Order: sequence, then C-alpha cells, then structure tokens
Amino acid sequence: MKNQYVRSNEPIVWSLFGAGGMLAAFLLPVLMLVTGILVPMGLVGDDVFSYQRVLTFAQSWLGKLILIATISLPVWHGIHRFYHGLRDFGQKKGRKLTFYFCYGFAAAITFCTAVLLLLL
Amino acid sequence: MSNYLSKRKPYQQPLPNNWWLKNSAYRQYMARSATCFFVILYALNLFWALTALIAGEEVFNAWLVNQQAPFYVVFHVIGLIAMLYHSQTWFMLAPKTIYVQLGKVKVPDKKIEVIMWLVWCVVTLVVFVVLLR
Repeated sequence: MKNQYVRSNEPIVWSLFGAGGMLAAFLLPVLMLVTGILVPMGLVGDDVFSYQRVLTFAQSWLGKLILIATISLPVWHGIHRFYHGLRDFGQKKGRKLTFYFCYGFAAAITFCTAVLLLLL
Repeated sequence: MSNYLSKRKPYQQPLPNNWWLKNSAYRQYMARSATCFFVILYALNLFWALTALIAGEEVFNAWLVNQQAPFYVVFHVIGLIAMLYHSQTWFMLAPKTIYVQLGKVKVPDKKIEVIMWLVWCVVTLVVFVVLLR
C-alpha cells in the first residue's frame, strides 16, 4: 500500500492567520481611527493623505513593505476565521472547494497587491 | 475525507444555527469571529485605495471623497470598536499560544496581556504621530 500520509497545510495558513491577527491587533485600531474617521471627517489637516505624500510613501521600499503587510495579512487572518466559521454554522459539504475559494482569494489579493506595489 | 470503503452512516447530531446564542461564552466566541468581516473589508478598502493611487491623483482624491460618505464613516466607527475587541481577545489568547518562562516560573497570562496592551499603546502613539506629523 502506498504511503497515504499527506502533510497538513495548517502550519502555513495558521502562521498567516497568526501574523494577520497580530498586525490587526496592534495596527488596525489606530489605522481605522486615522484613515476611516479623522481624515474623512476633516478633524486633521487636509495634507495628511495628500496624493503626493501617500505616493512618496508607497514608492519607498519601507512603504511597500508596510503596505503589503497591512493589506494582505489581515485578509489571510480574516478569511481563516470566516472559513472555520462556516463549519460553526453547519457547513459539511464542499469544504475543499470552500478552502480553495477562501485561501485562493487571500492569495490573489496578496499577489495583486505585490504587483501593484512593484508597478508604482 | 475518509478513504474507507465503508457504508456506515454515523449519526450526526443536528446543529441549530442559533446554538451560539445559548450562552455568553459562545456569544463572545461568535463576536470575536465576526470581527473578521471588518478586518477583511478594511484591508479591501486599503487595496481599493492602492488601485486608486496607481490610477492617478484624480482617482485617489475621489477615493478620499468617497470615504466621507456616512456609510464609510459608520463602518469605520463600528470597525474601530470591533478592532478593539479583537485586540483584547487576541492579547488574552497570546499567552495561550506562546509559552513564556522566566527562570523557573511561567509568566502569568495576565502579565503578558498587560504587557501587550502597553506595547499596543506605544505602537498606536508612534503610528498616530508618524501619520499626522
């Protein structure tokens, strides 16, 4: 009989889930406050998110690194909870398809973000 | 899934969709899981901003104006609350996944949680100052 042992993908997806959770816990509260509330409501200066300033940031290598982490890791984190949450609501069929759809989505966002950042 | 050529059909207990409303631990668990929607949508909003940034100044400024819509502001206010809940639950969970030992004793969970909140304060302050300077 062939060796049917298949390595679990859990270490990879859990690492990305953990990294995303850590980043979300530390960075997302202050980022949501600034980008989603203070800037749109005009409570801080207009030039905080001026096109030039954001572009300069996104063109620097440090900026690219921060942006790809801040955009892709939360998606890996969130999609992991969503995928396992589906089972909490009784999903039994099509787990494999859902797996590829969920993590494929996260991988696609990561890939597209990387490409866009390299184009800048 | 299983590779056995078995015809047994084990009984599976039905799971009502409202099982998590039954006690507060389940409700907290579900609230914690629900924070994932805000995490994902916020990241996608940033992704949208990045595409706008590449499309040029006009498109990027249109994105900034879009964010002023009440829908987005309300989303971010609720999202901020959800994120603070995520931070709290994450810092509670951290000592359970990382075993920290000093000398011969395990560092108490509560201590790690407090340290993580202190680090959180520093990170938040630094990001705030760097963004708004």
